Amino acid sequence: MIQQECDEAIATTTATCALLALAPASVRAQDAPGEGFGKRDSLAFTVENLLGFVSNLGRVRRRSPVVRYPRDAASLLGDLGLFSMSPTGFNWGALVGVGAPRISDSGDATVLRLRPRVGWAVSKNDKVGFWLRGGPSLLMFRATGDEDSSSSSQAMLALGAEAYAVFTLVEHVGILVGPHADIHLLGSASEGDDPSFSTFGVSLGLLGEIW
Amino acid sequence: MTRSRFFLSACTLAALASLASASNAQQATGFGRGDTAVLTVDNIAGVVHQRIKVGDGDSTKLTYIGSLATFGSLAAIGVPPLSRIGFHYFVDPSVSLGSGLLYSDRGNLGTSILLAPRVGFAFPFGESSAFWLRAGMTWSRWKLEFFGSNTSTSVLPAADALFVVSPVEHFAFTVGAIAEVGVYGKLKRKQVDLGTGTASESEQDVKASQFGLVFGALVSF
Repeated sequence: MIQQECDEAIATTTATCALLALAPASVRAQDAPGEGFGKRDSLAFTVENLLGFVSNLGRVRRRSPVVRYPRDAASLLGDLGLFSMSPTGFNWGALVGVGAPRISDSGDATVLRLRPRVGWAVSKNDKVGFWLRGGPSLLMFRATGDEDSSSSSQAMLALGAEAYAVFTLVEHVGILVGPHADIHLLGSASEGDDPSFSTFGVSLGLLGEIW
Repeated sequence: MTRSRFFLSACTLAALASLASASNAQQATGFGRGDTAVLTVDNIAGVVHQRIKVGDGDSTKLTYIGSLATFGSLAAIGVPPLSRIGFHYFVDPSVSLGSGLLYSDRGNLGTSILLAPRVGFAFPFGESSAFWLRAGMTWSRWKLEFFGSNTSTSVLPAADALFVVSPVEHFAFTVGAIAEVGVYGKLKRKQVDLGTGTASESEQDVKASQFGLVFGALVSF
């Protein structure tokens, strides 16, 4: 009986601890104002490449049986990110951009850009901070023909990094400004030469601490 | 006919403003109250269907699914299915005035500029959620210069019905429907014959419309 009560107590305590471990992110995001970027537990949502300049270097096979998805479109995909931020400054997460245009009588294409990242956040005060991130960048194309059902695919791996200045406009909201780069490492294609893709730019994004 | 349509539109807007005011009178807090300026990033991701008709030709249909390109576009003629940055100001707790804006220079894919003024009506349901209905016009222009030039200009009556969810103060997500209906558009082509050096010009009507379910974000301050 006592053993059962102990087990229940341990289970309850464990569950409570688990909930408390999850809860601080929201509690601290809500109730710890004025600490500066990267100084508290939070879940950050980002929208990147909103404005700016991007230059592409690369060789993506142009002869597509179907939709000509512009090779530089991949670098312009709307990038949505989700990051777990900790008060130590360490953070991790990923950015994803997905595009799937379907054009009548022309077939279709799909582009996926996935960028897992680890980062380090520092802030001088509650208004200005810096966010350095790095990680692999995966870019995949797939195009399918409308008439002959032919298809082609390409995949590229790059090493990417971003160095953003973070300006905290109001509580929980920041503007990201800074350079970013993806440098080509590997590429493969279902047919033809291996593709390569590198991109460099300076852009502006938006960050919201949502939890 | 035009006058009665205008009258009907004015009555609809007045009714929306009246409803929004009544909603806000009951709701002391929420979207549109307190923070009066709103910076939006519209159309971040979603499903957008476009129909573009040039002259007497067949319509081209394009469905775009995913995170919408930010400063680029697949669709050249018509209105690009892109993320837009917007700024709106609540002149009244329930009524906003503002505009979406887009500029994109993509070299060999042309230059796009878009202006989307909107009148909005906010219906808050509490501190963290609201309906935001917006109506207005969208004007877009795309130009490509390559052995001559192609310039497309479109004007589209537009409406957005957005649900605003705010997980934390000052930041919110928007989810909803957008519609932009092509009523006027022109495509001007200027071409130069490289052999003879003679230039020719042509002009065609363009009707470009787009509908979609989209996701966005906003900052209020």
